[in-house]
Amino acid sequence: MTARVMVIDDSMLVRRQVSAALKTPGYLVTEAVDGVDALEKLAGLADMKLIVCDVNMPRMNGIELLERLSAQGSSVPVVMLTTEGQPELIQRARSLGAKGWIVKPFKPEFLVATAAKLAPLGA
Amino acid sequence: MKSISPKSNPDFELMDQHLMDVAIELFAAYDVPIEHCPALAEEGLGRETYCMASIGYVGHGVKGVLILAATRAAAEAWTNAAGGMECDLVDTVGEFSNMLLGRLKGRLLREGIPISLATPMTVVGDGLRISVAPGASSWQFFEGPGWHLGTRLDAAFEPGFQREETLAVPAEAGDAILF
Repeated sequence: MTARVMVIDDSMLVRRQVSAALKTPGYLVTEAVDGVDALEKLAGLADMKLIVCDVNMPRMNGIELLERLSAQGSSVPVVMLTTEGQPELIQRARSLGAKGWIVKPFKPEFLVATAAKLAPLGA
Repeated sequence: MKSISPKSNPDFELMDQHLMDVAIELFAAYDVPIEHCPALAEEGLGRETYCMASIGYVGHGVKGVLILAATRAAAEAWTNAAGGMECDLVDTVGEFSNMLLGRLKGRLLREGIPISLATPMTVVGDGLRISVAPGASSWQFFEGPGWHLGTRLDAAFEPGFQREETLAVPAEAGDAILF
């Protein structure tokens, strides 16, 4: 069994890091470069089990994307992966339905453990 | 906004000191030791400069920009340290500038200087130079294993700028919080 995960980050380096970490245990990873790109790709992917999302991105940032997903009634769990650690931002993301907050640089094992909890491969 | 020079400004000196500290911490998180290299202050990275990333920031009564400059060897070393992914070196420098300013933002929040960040803009070329008002700030240079990097924090303070009372405790790099 596998599960599809989307990583949204304007940094190719981070997208590749997250992809490498999650592909190892068996996740299928879709990449998006910002919130606009993510919404377009999510519209064509009904089987998304988890979203890993940056905060500061051009065009549509991670908080704005959370607002859009919340308005759409999305049930896909979202974990924020960002350099930001400001309590107000974390609280804002939580109030919009985010399930977690990881501050870069991240440890791959933390990310895999988070994915296993929110989007178990065997489910 | 009428600005005053940050030269000899204790708030700016505090910000600059935190920048030096978080630069060393950031690379240590990747098991890459770097040392402050004041000897480079005169000549800088010169024609070895391969890439520069800049990120603007704005706070209550202060605004400015962080610049991260890297030699090609530095950008290659950072990419390797981040997992050896096949990706654009320019992107690597942009992301490291983002992590650097993100860490600085946390430190400044604790000091009562909350700031918001823009997204990085990165340029690549031979012998890059910047043009800024003289005395606005100064470069800090660091030496890694076989490479150098430079950081520059520019800040313009509004007259009457004051640090805020704060009890904020930001999440730190590497923290993972599940709600």
